Amino acid sequence: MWGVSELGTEYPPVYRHTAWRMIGYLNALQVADNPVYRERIASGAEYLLSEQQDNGSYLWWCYETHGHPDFDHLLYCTANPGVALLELYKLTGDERFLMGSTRAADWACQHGIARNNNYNSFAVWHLCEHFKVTEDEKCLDAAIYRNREGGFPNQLSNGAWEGHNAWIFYHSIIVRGFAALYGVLPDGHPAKDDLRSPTLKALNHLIEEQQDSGHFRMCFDPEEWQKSREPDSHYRIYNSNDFDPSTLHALVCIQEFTDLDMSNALYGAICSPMPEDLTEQGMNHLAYGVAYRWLAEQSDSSSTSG
Amino acid sequence: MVTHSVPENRLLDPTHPFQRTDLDLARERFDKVS
Repeated sequence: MWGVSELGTEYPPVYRHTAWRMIGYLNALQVADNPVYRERIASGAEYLLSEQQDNGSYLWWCYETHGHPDFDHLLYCTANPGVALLELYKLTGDERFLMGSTRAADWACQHGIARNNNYNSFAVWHLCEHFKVTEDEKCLDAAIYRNREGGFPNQLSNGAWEGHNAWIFYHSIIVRGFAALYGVLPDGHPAKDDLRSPTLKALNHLIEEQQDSGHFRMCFDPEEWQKSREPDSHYRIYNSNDFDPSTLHALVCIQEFTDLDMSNALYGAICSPMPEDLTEQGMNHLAYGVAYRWLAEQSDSSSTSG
Repeated sequence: MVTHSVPENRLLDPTHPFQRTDLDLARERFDKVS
């Protein structure tokens, strides 16, 4: 496992740290084999399987020691391990990992819509990835419903969301959900038609917010930004412009799952100065791993076609 | 309410043109975070 528990050594760290690291290694493995990566993925996977709740969810070990069973937060706590286990199943064919992803998806299918858009979008991402592997229509239907009722609402005319989801990483988590759903819907499906305009608007916002360094403005909403400067705000750690791994991941998803070309912004994000703290957030690992695999595939396809 | 208006589709009109990324750079960055 990766990460440090926020509640002390008796409690686990949040599971996303392990899941994100695994997904980063799983992507890098597709470029070149590496036994160390395999070993780390395997131990991360056993850990995640052992921590899954009976109902398929993953608890949220923050602030309270009960883990917040069946809270909306579990939508994101569960989606990250779900995708990690699914990606490992695709690599190994080991049914235990598919079962872990299935149980996580089943939990998300029956959980209600969260008021926070990005929580829903985490689940949409996993449900779509799970559908791609299993073709379980229940997951596709749940993703369409959750995105319509919990991803679209309250988008502004500039393509962004105000308040909490004005942070570029939350915005990009919503975009990743849009991209994932776009990628599994056949052309002509009414839900795909519904997705196009919100997706374009959300991408326009990303283009608008990207700086000439390739970094992104972290929060466009002045009120939300001002709140984050308070001494007790958890968001005080963020600079006004920075590298954002969630945005890098969302841009790769747009390139891979849609017919929309965001390659310019994507190249800018990959080349932008790296974050100063490379240890804390496993999301950097996921994003650079995904970008590395995507770029390698671009090189392969250009050398094949050339 | 905070909004700014952008054209319906700016994908073909990026604000900052960026260079295509080199694979070695991407690998180096992944190695640094691994």
